[in-house]
Formats: sequence, C-alpha cells, structure tokens
Amino acid sequence: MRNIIYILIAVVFLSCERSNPDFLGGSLNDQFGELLVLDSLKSSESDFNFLSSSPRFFEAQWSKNLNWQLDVVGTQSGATKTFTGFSSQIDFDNTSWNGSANDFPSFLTENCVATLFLADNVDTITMSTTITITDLKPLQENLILVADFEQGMPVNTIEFVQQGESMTFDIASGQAASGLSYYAMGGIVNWDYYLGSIKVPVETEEFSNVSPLLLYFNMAVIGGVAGEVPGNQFIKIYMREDDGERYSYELNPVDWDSWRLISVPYSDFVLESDAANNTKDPGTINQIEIMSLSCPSGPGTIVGGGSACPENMGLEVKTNIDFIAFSTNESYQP
Amino acid sequence: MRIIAICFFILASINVMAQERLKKVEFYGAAKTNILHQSYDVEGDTSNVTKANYGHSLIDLGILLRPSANTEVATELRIRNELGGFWGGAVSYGIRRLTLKGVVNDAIRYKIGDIDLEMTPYTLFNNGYQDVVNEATVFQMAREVIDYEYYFTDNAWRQQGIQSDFGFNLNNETFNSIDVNIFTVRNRVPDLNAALPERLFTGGQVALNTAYGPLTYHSANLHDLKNTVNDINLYYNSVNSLSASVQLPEAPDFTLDYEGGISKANYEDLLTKEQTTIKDYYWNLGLTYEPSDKLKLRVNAINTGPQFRSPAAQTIRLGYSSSSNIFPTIGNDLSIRKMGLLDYLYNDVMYNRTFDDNLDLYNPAFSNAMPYGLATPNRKGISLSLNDYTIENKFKISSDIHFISEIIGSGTSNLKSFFKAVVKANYQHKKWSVNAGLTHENTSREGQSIEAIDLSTMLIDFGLDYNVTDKIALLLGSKYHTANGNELVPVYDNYNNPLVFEPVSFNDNRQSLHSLGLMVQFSERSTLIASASTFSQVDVRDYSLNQFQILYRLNF
Amino acid sequence: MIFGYLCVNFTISSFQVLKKTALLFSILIFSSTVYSQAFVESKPDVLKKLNISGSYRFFLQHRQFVDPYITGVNGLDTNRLVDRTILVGDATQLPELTLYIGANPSENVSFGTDLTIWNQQTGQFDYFRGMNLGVNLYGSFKTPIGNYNIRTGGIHWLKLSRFTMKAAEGFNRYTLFDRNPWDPQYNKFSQRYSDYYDRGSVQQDVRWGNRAFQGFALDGGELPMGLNFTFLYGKAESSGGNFNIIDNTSYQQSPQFLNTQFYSSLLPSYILGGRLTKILDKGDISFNTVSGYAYLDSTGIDMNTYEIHSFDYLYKSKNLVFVGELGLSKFNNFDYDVALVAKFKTSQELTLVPFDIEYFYIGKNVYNNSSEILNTSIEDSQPTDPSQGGVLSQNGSAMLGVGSLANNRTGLSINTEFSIKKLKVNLGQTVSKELERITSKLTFGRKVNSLTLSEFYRWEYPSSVGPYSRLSKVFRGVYETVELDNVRQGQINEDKFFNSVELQAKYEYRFKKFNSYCFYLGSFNSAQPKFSPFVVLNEDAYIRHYVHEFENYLSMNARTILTTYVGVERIIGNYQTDLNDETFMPRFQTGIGIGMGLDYSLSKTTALYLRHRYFSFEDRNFVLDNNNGHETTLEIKVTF
Repeated sequence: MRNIIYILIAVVFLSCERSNPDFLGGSLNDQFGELLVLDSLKSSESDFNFLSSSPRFFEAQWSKNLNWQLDVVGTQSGATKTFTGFSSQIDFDNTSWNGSANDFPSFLTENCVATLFLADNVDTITMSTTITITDLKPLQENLILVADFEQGMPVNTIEFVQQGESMTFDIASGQAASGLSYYAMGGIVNWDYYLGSIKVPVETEEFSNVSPLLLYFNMAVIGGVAGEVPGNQFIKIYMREDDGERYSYELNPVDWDSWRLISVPYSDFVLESDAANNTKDPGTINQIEIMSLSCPSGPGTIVGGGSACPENMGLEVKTNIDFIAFSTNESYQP
Repeated sequence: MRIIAICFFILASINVMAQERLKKVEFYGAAKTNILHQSYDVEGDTSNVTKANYGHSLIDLGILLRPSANTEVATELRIRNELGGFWGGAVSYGIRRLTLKGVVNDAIRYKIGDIDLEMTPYTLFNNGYQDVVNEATVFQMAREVIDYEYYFTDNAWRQQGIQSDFGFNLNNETFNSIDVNIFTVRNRVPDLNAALPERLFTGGQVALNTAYGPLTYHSANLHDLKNTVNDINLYYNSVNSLSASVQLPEAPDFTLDYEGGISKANYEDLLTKEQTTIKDYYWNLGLTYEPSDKLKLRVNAINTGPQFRSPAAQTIRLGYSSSSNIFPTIGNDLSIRKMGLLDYLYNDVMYNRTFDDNLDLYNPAFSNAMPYGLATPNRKGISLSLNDYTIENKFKISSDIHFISEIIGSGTSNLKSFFKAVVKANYQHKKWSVNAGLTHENTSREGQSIEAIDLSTMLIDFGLDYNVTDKIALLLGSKYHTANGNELVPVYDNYNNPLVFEPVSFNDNRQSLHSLGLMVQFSERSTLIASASTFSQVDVRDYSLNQFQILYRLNF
Repeated sequence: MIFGYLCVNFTISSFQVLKKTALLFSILIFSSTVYSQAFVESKPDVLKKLNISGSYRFFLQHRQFVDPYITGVNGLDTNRLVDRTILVGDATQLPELTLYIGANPSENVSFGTDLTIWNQQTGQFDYFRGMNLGVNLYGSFKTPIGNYNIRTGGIHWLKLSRFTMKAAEGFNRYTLFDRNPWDPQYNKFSQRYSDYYDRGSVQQDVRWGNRAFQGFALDGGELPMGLNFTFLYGKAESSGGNFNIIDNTSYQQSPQFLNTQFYSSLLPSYILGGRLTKILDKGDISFNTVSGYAYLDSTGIDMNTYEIHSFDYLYKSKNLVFVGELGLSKFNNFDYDVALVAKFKTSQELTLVPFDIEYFYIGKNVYNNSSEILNTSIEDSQPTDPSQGGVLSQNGSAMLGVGSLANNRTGLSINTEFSIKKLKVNLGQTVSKELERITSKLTFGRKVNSLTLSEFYRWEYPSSVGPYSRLSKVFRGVYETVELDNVRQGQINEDKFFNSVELQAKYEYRFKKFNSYCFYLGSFNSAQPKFSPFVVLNEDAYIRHYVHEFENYLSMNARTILTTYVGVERIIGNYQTDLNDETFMPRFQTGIGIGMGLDYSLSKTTALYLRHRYFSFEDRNFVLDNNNGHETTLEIKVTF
C-alpha cells in the first residue's frame, strides 16, 4: 500500500506537462515601452503595376505592438485605400494591395501618397512615402460593365430629359468615380418628380444560372452639397426582363456629396409591373433604366398628384452616376 | 453471532437512553457592546469631519431545538440597538443562522442550512488575514469580532446548502476505514435581468484511512445550472485532487505529505457557440521531521500552474478596494482616503463572505508572494518551516522561509522571484507575556525599466501583556507596516488571465498602529476591554487617527 | 489513470470486506462517536437557564367629541379633529407585548434585553416590533481594592446627583386615575392605592428619579477609605443620535460589522461624568461631574458643550437631616455660574410636624438637561423633536410645581405632612423669583385632562400648536405659552415671581371588609411681577392657576375596585397677558374632568382597567380654544 502511494506521487509529480505561452497577459513592452521606429515606411516598389502578378505591399517596423493605420491616397483621383491592424510591423501579410480603393472614386494611373499612423498612450508617429500607379487593377471576374461613360454613351442608349430649367443630362468630365468621365443627371423641374432618365440595353445571358441573391447591380452615385440640392432627390433603377416584368429599386434620398458605390443584389429589387412569371431571371434582363427624380417645388398642379415641396424652390437636382456594372458572388471592388 | 447481536442491542440502548436525556430546547449565544470614539487629523484639511462617536449593543440569541433524538435545529436571532437610539429607536434585528442537523438510521449525518466547509488549501479554503503575523492580545479582541461577524472559523467558508458525511469501517489491517463527505451549496441565485444563471458549489472528500496514513480524494466544483435563466453564458470550474500523508516506518520521525490535482475552467458562450477551456495542475510535496512535540521541521515544494483555477481556494478575505464610512475622504479636494491597519481591524471595510469565479484584487504591499494562499497560480518554489519550537516551556518560536518564483513571466519572459520570511515568537514569564511576529517579503524581477520590479514589504506585530490579577490585564500592542518599491499588478480579463498591468509604487510607505488597553476577564467567556489607539499613515497623503474603544463581549 | 486503478482495486477489495463484516460494521457505526472531522463542527455551550418575563397590555381607547378640538385656523378654514377616534395601542408608543429576556451565564455576568411586539389591529397584519429599553450587559468583579460593576449598552436607569444626573421626584403629589403603561401589578389588587396612601408614593419602577443612559457605566464600591464611585461615558437622552430609517429587510444583506449607515451623523454627542463619594459616620459627601458634548452641524464646527461640577452632602442626625448640593456650571462660552440647593428636614419629634425646607439658587447660565434643573433661560439650538435628541420639557419662564428646580431662579420651598387618624395631609409651598429678566414668556402645564389633550397629537411632539398656536406637547402632557406685555423700550421692565401651593389629603376608610381610599389634590399657582409670600388671588398676577382633583377608590371586593374622579382647573390671565383680538380680554380657562372607572382582577396576574372620562375645556375669551367630549379606555394587563 505504501508503495502504491509512493508510485502515485511520483507519477503525478512527473507526468504532467504544460504548454505555456512565453508569458502571461499583454506584453509590458506593448503597454509601457517607448515607441521607436526601427525601420521607416517604404513600398515594395516605387511603381505599382496592378496588372502584373508581383506582390505590391508596404513595409515598416517599430518597437511595440499597437494599433496602426496606413492610408494610400491618389493625388489626382482622391481615391483612398486604408489598411489597419495591431502589430509591430507592416509587410506583405498585412498590406498587400490589389489596387482597389475603399470606395469610389477608383484609383487612376497617378501618384499616390501612403501615410502610416502609429500612436500609443504617449507618442504619435507619422511616416509617408510615395508610389506611382502605372497600371490599374483588372476588372474582377464575371463582371459585366454596362457603362463607364469613358467612350461616351453605350450603344442604343435612350435618353429622356424633362422640360425644365438648367437640365443637365450629359456625359461630363472631371472628378469621375472611375476614369475621367461620368454621366451627369440633374436640373430644375418644378411641376413633376421626373427629371429624366437613361435606358441602357444590356445582355445578361451569362447570368442565366446565377441566383438573384448573387447577382449584384453596382453603380457609383454622387449627389450634391446639402443645401444646394433638394434634400429629397432620389434615383430609381428599373430592370426590365424579356417576359415584360419590370423590377425596381430606389436610392432615396441621394444626400451624399462624394462618390459612393451602390451595390445591390438583384433579389432586393421589387416587381413593379404586372407579373408574368413573378420570378427574377437574371439571365433575361434586357434593359436598365436609371431615373433622376425629386419632389417638385411647384407652384401649380403637380403631375401625378401629390403635394409640392416649396423648400426645393431654386435648388438644382444633382444625381450623377458612373460605372454601371453587374458582378456575381460579391460586390464590385472600386 | 449471538454475542454480536447482544452487544448490538446493549450499545444501541445506551445510545438511545443517552439521547433521551437531551433537552428539547436550549439556548446559547453571544452579546456585545462596542463603543468607539475616533478623531482624524490631516494637516490643512478644513473640509472633512474630524470626529466620530458611535456604537451598539446586541444580543445573538441561539436556540437549539431537538424535536427528536436524531434531529436538531439551530437558529440565531440578532437584536441590535445603536448607541443613542432611545425608546426603541435605531433597532435592527435579523437572523444569523438557521441549520437543521440530523442523523439518518444512525449512520448518515446531514446538515441543511448554514454550514461551515473547509477542505484543502487548493480546493476549498478561506485564506487567512494578510495584516496579521502574530497579533497582540489587544488586537485579537477586535479580530475576534470580525471573525464572529463574518462567520470566519479558522479557514472555513460559511455557505448555505446541504452536507452529509458517513463512513465505513473496513476492519482490515491495512485499510482501516473510509470516510465520505459530500456537499452542495448555493453560491449564487439566478438573476433574470442580468441573465446570470443559478450557481452551485458541489464537492466532497473520500478518505481512505490506511495504516500508513490517509489517502484522500477531493473534489470542488463550481458550476452554473442551465435553463434557470435565458442562458447566454455558462461556466463551470472543477478541481480534483489527491492527497496523502505517509509516515515513513523506517524513519518514524519523518512524514511525507503530498497533494496534487488538476483544475478545469470552462466558459461557454451560447450566442456565439464558443467555448474557452482553461486547464492546469498543481502539486505540493512536503517532508516533515518531528522528533518530539517540541520541534517540528518541514520542507515543502510547490508547483501551481499559471492556469490553475480554484475559486473556493483562491480567495482574499479583505476587500482591498472597499472603503470605510468613517472619515471616507481626505483633504480639501475630498479624495478617497486610503485605508490602513486601523480600518482593517476596527472600521467597516468589506470582508468577503463568500467566493466567486473572479480573482480578487490584492494589495502587493501586504501579500505579493502568495496573495491567494497556497493556491496562488503561477508559483513554484520551496519553503522551510520551523513550527512551535519550545524552549523551557516559556519561549516558543516558529519560522517560515519561502523561495518562490513564477513559472512563466507576467507581461515579459523574465520571471518574478519572491522571498518571504515569517518569524513568530512568544514568551511567557510569571505575569508577563510577550509575543512578536515579523513578515518580510521581497519581490524582484530583472529587465528593462518597464519590467524591472523591486518591492520590499514588512509587517511587524508586537504585544506585551501584564496580568495585574488573574482577571485584569494591561495590554500593549503595536503593528507596523512598511512598503517600498514598485510592482505591476495584473488586471484580469473574464477568464482570470492577466490582461494588462497596473503599475503601483510605494515610496517608503509606512503605517503604524499602537494600542494600550485594559482587559477585564469576568469569566471564561466574558471579557471587557477598554483601549486607546493611535494610527498614522505616511503615504501620498499623510494622516493620523486616534481612537478610544470599549468592547464588552459575553458568550453564553 | 492511476486514480482509476486505485478506484477499481479499492472497489473489489472493499466489497469483499463489506460482505464479510456487514453486521459488525453497523454495530460500530451505531455506537461509534468517531466520524471524519474534515468538516468544521462547532457545538455551542448551552445556557442552563434563560429568564423570560414581561407583560402584555391590551389598550383600547375610544374618543368621541361633542365639540371637537380645533387644531388650527387657516384663513377661513378651521381644522378640527375628527369627531370619533378609536385607537388600539397607546399613543405614547409603549408596546402591547414586552418580553424581558435575561440570563446569568456565570455568577458575575448577566445580560438582558427586551423585545416588544405591537399589533395595532388595523386589519393589515402590520406588526410593530423592536425594543423599548435596549440591550443591557452587566458584569462584576471583586478585587482586594474594591468591588466593581460594569453596565454597558442601554437603556440603564441611573442617577448621580440632583445637579448632574437625576430626574425630579417631587413630593409624590399626583393623581392615580390615569394609569401609566409601566404601572406594575400586585398580588394584593388594591396595593397601588394603599401604597400611595401609606408611603406617599406608589411603588415605582426602576425609572423613578433616574435618568436614561446608554453607553458604559462603571461602579466601584468598598474602595479604601470608604470611597465609592461611578463613572459614565455614553449618551444621555439629551445626546441621543440622529438615525436613518432602518429597513430591516435590506439590513440582512448588509455587512453586519459596524453598520454605521444607521447613523445620519457620526459626529460625537455624548456625556462624560462621574461621582466620587466618601462615606462618613452620619452621612456622606460626594463630588459629581458631568460634561456634555454635542455637535450641531454636519461639518463638526458648531457644538454645544456644557459642564457641571458639584459637591453634595448628606448629614443625618436623630431629628435632623441636612442635605444639599453646591455646583458650578458652564455652557459654551458663557461664564461659569453657581447652583445651590440646601435643604433641612426636621422630624416630628423635633417640630411637632415634620418640615422639609429647601432654599435654592440656580444661576441663569447653569445648564444640564440630564439633571433636575429645567432649562428656561438658555437658547441651546436643540431640536424639539425627541427623535433627533430633543428633550421634552417646558421652556420659557415656567410655572412649576412645588420643589421643582429651574435655572435663572432662586426660591424657598416648605413642605410638611401630618395625620389625623385616617386622614393624611401634606402640603407644600414654593416662593421663587427669576434672577434675570430674559424672556417675556410664561409657560404653565395643564393639569386636568392633560393626558387626554396630549393624545390629540398622537405620534408626534409638536410645539406651538392649537387654535392660537400656544400649546406644546411633552410626554403625556401639554403646556401652554403665555406672551406677556412687559417690554418697554426694548427691555423687560418687570421681574417675575412665582408662588405655588400644593395640598394633598388622603383618607382611608372601610367599605364592607375592604380598605378604600379617597384622595384630594389641590394646586394653586400664580406668577406676578411683585413678591408675595402667598399665592396671589387677584389680577396683580399675570396668571393664576387653580386645580382641584378628587379621586375615590372603592374596593367592592377583593377583585373589584370602583374608581371615580372629578377635576376642575381654572386659569386666569390678567391684562398684561395675551388678549384676544375679538374680545380684547385675557384668557379665562376652565377645564373639567369627570371620570368613572373599574379595576377588575381577572386572575392572579391579569387585570382589567376601564376608565371613562368626560373632558371639557373652555376659554370664554379665546372662543376657538373650546372642546369637550368623552373618552373611554380599556386596558387589560397580564404580567408574567
């Protein structure tokens, strides 16, 4: 019996092992250590060609783990790409860049400034470097570009412009969401909601086997500065299918003044016409219509009935669009 | 067989007759008058009240009811009257205890209600005070009041639940008997609003008493009961261990003690369906040499894993973050006053009456090597002890020395080392008796400035008693505490792992408490003590307190 | 794994062992007292004997106004008390059931407490429970240099000297018709009345002449040189604390250690005092001292302090007793002032009838609310509410009874008593004068129907109430305040002199085989601007106050006593007192009380007391201050 106890003690004494980390809790260096730059910010290359397969990333190293943020801003387009993390360095693993932006506008072939922000409880450090985008990223797979307005309007596009004041329904150049051109829609119509629209024919047969849940309608949209445009201006999008069904989606209101990606799955569109088979068939979409609308200021009778919005008197509608495209499985990455 | 049966009936009848002589209702209890008069001195302070006078008298009347020979109900009623409450003003009353005790079939004992539980220092243990090493008699009186009010009996926890124990006699040369003790107590009631489920603490011991010593299995489990609320999180923690104590027949003066076990803590998030499990183990091996009843030496080695979790043993009695209602603020900016030795002993700081699954906040100035007792996680080391070495029946000395370090570092890979020395001495000569104690701790860690630690603390107790007569004694007591250095105290996350570290520093902090008292012993269980005390604290904000107390305790 | 192996082996071998020795195992378990001691077991030492006694007192009162009392006038609204009220329980908050629990754990240690339970029969099952006198702990020990007793907790009833700590005992001149909640019961049913007839006082409970005290008291006796002493540290009634409302349901969850949250202020309010007595051959001499401290504000800046130190002496010879006290007192920053009382008593052998002649001089700065001295001259900023530590007593220039002491006063009292067969007569007179002109108010206590009037304000102790805001309530009584028109050019231009005469006659007679008793108590008081050796009976007096009270207690048999009472009170003010705005005349008050009752012994320890009283009060010049009605009380008392 006594021997059994001795054996028991010895076995338990010796048998167990622990898998311990290096230390318990957060690193003291992370909590109290001085923030020092060990390796300043640099890019993997000075020119970023997003068409090639070589990696494009940024590198830097500092003395302690902390929350950091790296912003890459296009000097011409104003596009921004942001990387964040918690570590003591940045490298390929956490700043590998495929040329996309956080949102529209997209990057152009332009110079960009990359800025790294480091801050702990005591110190803040900022480092910058510049790179040049020589080639843009390729479009993602299974993307159908409906219109980017770089080469003018798509073929057989039908425009409709209401009678009004300062009506602008045309391709414009300047600060576009993607490339150099965009389609401007706007003006002043004080007797009707409907200002104008474009109808763009499309062919979507390759989406025949795609679920409406996985077919995304993407478009860049920009409004105007609050107070300069009606607060209740909005865009309506129609999808027309071969069987005559018309599905709609409303962006209401368009109250932002910087390019923004709108990415909506086709399943979110609502049947507005008489039903044929009452089923969304992505492969049978034959036309997209983008309408610009706003509550008229009056006075006088309003087409379609309803009340006027006197607060919109003198305010010019601005609902510009760019880069209309269909993508599958995921939204478009600007 | 016939003889056995005859013995059976004779013994049975003796037992029954003895029980029938017990009275059906008996009374016991305690009474107390406690009057305090305190004053507070802070230089330049014109905003705070500087005097306090208050007190109370109370009676705890215990009633023992015996409805039958095998059943007993004990209840204690408290009636309390504050000093200054005339004509029934400021009267409060309550119940301090309700326990049913009994024996089933004369074989199984049970208790239901308020019960005191204690197992090993790693499974179920109420760790002792950290501001005591060998306290003077004048302070012991106040300490006994704390023990009584908080139901501290040695190292037991007062809990509410059910307990049962029974045994088997094996009538074997090697295996003598088996003792079984099991319990379930309620640790927490469900809170529907906060979605906190009912929590129970269940466990027990099975001891196999052998010719070489006991071999005992211990189990302590803190666990949530599912479906008592709309569950969001469920928790359980189990500690299972084995202990043995073996006397070496080749060297009968030597005894080998061992305890080792494993813990497993499980946190289940029912919303995210994630589980976090934390496991670890510990062992404690000791060798005792006791050649006579005047000398006992012991060597001990411990290894308690960093992930070892035992909520019922990793406890601290004093709630260091609590503060007293007496002079709660200091200075004209009304900052919170830092509590000290006088508050811990006399004022209404909070002591923990039960345990939960969170590691308590500790004060490194009072205990840094093993703030949660032997069950402190992430410790390994050895200790040497000399227990109660007596010289000429007058002088008694005890000593413990601990050399401990972390198993893995805290916030860094460098390890903290702890040195702790405790010395206690008692001397009795005619009408005089002296007792003294010293605890010294030193914590160190090498490394860069952000991780270097050097903390040195010391607590000294001194007491001098002079028996004027066999009933009257003059008492003198002192407590002195210093702390100097720095430490990084962990702030724990929900899993009791260190998350971040809070730097604390002590710039030659000193506290001293001195007390002069007169004690009158009316009878064996009734004592009056009148004492005058002075306390001073040297810290970021210095202050001093003076106090006069009359404490009359009467047990019956 | 190892543990599993052990378990298996153990199971197999233990089963075999168990099977073999099953009967022996059960024998050993049954008779064995050795169980595993892994869990903590503490068995208390039980008390041999717990003493429980107490009393149950059912009290029911029915009051029916004919002309209800007006509590106040607010513009055109006149607020009156409701016509009819029923109360179960005593409005002076004395409980229904009182249990006294005590024990002697050892021969020199004891404790006691009381528990009170009260059912107001509201139908809501709301029981009031608490304590009345508190938790008292006692201890004693003997040494070669004296015997010592300690008392801690409270309430303890104790006294030091007349100037330091004592309640006025008076000359036992009062009526017995209205019963007190603490009146004891006797084996002989009529003993209450016979004691009063025989000794001039009924048996009083422990409070008589003593003051309530909480804290720590140490008495030392049989010290060397014939000394004994008392030391006090704690609270008198005047230094009672302010408390928050205690919620006893949440109290259970709170830390039970010190519970300072019961106090709304921890600022000290206490007294420190003592008495040292030297026993002489024919008397004793003592030194007494009391110092009181009380903070008045929450920051501990304003405080009241008072101190009084005195020597008192007692000299007894065969026919003469000489007793008195000389003291020095100070209140806050006021100057010290002197208090002196000197009394000598003669025996019947010396002066044919015994005389009790007392001279007193109490300076205006003498202050001690724990003494016999009533404070009528110092504004002490104390609250009037007793729950906040206020002391209930008349203030202003008080018209007091014979032998009462007040500060800012000097005077002479003469008392005597004699018997003519079964007729016992005692009478007394006090002539006194205020030392300094401090206030232009007078106060006097109502005597007839005073308890009934105090119960118009149950549960509270208001001051300056009534239709003319001149009544204030004290414990089981009321007093009235009189405004005097004696201020000229900003100064009070007249002194105040007080005369008080009390006459008591007691007669014992036999009815059938039992002793019955008839008592008369007359009280005649006046307050006036000039000295008069006797009570002033004309308009020279600011206030004349005459009272006649007759009582008869007729024992029908050993268990039944019929009680009757007639009281008449007249208070007349002169034109230097308040004049009514409508009648332009001073107060002319008449109070009448006519009562009948029955005492019936239901058993040896249980008795029933029924009282019915017609009460009437009329002030013909202050017409709102009129009320009358009937009040019936039923008391059933059980002592055990």
